Amino acid sequence: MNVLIADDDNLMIRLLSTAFQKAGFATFVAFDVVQATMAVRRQRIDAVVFDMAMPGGSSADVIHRLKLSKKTGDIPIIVVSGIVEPDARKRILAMGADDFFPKPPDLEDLVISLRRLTDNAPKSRTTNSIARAS
Amino acid sequence: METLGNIIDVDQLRRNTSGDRELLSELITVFQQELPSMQSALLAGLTQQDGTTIGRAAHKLKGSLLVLGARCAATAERLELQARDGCGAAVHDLSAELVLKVAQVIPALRILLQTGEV
Repeated sequence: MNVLIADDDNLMIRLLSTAFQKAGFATFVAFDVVQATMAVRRQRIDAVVFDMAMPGGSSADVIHRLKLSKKTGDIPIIVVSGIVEPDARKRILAMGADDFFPKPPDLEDLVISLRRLTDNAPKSRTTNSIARAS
Repeated sequence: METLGNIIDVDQLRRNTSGDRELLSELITVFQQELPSMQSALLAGLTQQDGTTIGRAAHKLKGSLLVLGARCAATAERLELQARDGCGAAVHDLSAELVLKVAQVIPALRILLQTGEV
């Protein structure tokens, strides 16, 4: 299972990569919304863990577009964000995200959510060439 | 004099790293590399009197500090929120407070790593 971590914070990327790899996932990284969009469309990605405050555009728009697309609409999206609004969870789920965790996320719960969502997702996407992030 | 516990929430740090000292060592190195650019972004916002830039810089810094269990993530969050109302005296005060507190984070983490407390 391939997980794309879309975040511009290198520390969060290291933390999430380590946790996901220990749980058996392969991880890929995007540092801005453009890279995230490209990665999802060009590689076989089974789930995206997305930060809401990334450079290069609106994360909300990207989530919305991915969910509306026939090709990518079934990819689970988990938002991990440091946004502080009290209704953040409700708002983010309304955008189409499948789950939400405030930063710093509880890594065990995050992995459980990732497993649940990837187990439930359709397995019909094609595999393209994958450039694995270090 | 701040105690380590006042600088780092050790339980949070342990939860984040699952007690993986190699990971913690790597996180400290990454933070050390990233910190100058994050502080430069904050300084640029202050110089330009630009609340949006300050808020963005504080938000990013907060994210990294949360990963490290640094208690001054709360100061970064206060700054992030305060900067939404512009770049007044409170923003300058919080920025100064944040920079001072952030300077304590890496030495505290190194001590925790050396003493095997995490």
